[in-house]
Amino acid sequence: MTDISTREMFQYLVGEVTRVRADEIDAHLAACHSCQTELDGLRGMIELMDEPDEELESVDLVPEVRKMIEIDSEKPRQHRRSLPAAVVLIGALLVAVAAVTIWTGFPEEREIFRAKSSGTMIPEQDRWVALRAYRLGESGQTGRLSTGMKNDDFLLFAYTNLGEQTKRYLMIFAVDARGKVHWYHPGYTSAESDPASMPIESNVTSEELPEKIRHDYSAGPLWIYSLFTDQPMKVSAVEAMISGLRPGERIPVEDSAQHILKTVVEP
Amino acid sequence: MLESTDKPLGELDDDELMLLARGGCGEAFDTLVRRHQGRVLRVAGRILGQSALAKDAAQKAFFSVYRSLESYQARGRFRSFMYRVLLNQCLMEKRSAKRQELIRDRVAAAEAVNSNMTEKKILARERRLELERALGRLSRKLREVLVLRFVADLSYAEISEVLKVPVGTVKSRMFSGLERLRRIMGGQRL
Repeated sequence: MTDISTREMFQYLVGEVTRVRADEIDAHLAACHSCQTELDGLRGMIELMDEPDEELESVDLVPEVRKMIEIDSEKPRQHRRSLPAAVVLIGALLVAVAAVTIWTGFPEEREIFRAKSSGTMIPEQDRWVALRAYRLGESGQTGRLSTGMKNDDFLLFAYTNLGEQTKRYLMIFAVDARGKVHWYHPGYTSAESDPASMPIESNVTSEELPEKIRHDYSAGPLWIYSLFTDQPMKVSAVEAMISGLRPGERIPVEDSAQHILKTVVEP
Repeated sequence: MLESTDKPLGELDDDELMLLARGGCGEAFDTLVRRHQGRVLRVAGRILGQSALAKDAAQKAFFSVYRSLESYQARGRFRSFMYRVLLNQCLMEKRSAKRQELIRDRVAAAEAVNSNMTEKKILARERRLELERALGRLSRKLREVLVLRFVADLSYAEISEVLKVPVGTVKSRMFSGLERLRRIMGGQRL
């Protein structure tokens, strides 16, 4: 066997030769000092690439990264990005769905927005679900719902449902400043009906709900609840439970996961 | 460790930490940074060739990851995502002429410190500098593949995702890069 080419030595070193060829190379290396020396050199070169750099090994980036996050979170809100113009130009429903898809969110909104989960004390079951709300204004402007909205804004939603035991049903509704309940999912338009939770997808990070929904809210704080459950629930049962709760308080449904958002409806 | 979980944060995978961080758990993001910072710094160091600049790029890359929390999709591809962000950051750092001036100042300061290094450390540093100079002479395409494979320890599939090229192209660039690197570093056989 003639000497092995450098390329094949590299292929051998990274396991990119067949088993038969590897055996042949092994046999050759055992008898050829020159090739063995060359191979050792190539291996050394590869290992050198991953050798620790003493100037960087002791560096801990956490304090500096934290500082950057803190500075960013203190920035005034008028510096937010606007949505791409193309999104605004497409038809109303497409606009809405596209906004949900492409909007990336602003970190500074999260703390204000995740009403029940700020800090590190998120209940275990709530870690795997999330609700995102988007507002669609009369003029076609879209954006993530943050600290404020207009009474006539349409709302759209997307949810996250992850974890080892994903939830199977979802309800989304809001309670306004006067305690009136407004239903988004399921739709609740007739007093005679008593609809149940809607079935949802499992293992999804951002499942968009296509309907845009508008209600007549009272001005003031608006709490938007997402209630993820294993079994479907009736609207009447949930309304009975929330009637005795403080605004934004977690609904006492066993084995449920919840994400509660807070915004303010402008007068 | 969170009170409401029976698992320490260090035992959670990257996606789980990202989801926790999205939920407002700062410690989860700290854990993620500490888990990856060693390799991220090393990759940035090999790409940029300067420790000071590598540190800045790595720091900004983690900050960019933080800013992407809301849109991050937990599909087991954190490393590909992280290194794509890092390579973009390295590119931006490199393009900044102002930064280059800063680098020279910092390098001069670092070299002054070298007088206190042991002979062994000086030799190790020399070897690494030789490698970094050689890597610096490679095209960006070849350099990125080598660093992602041998420093970041990414699989071919992950590199393919980071660079958005087919796996076959990744392998081809890797072997071409290795051969070229060997030639630059004084190989005899090519």
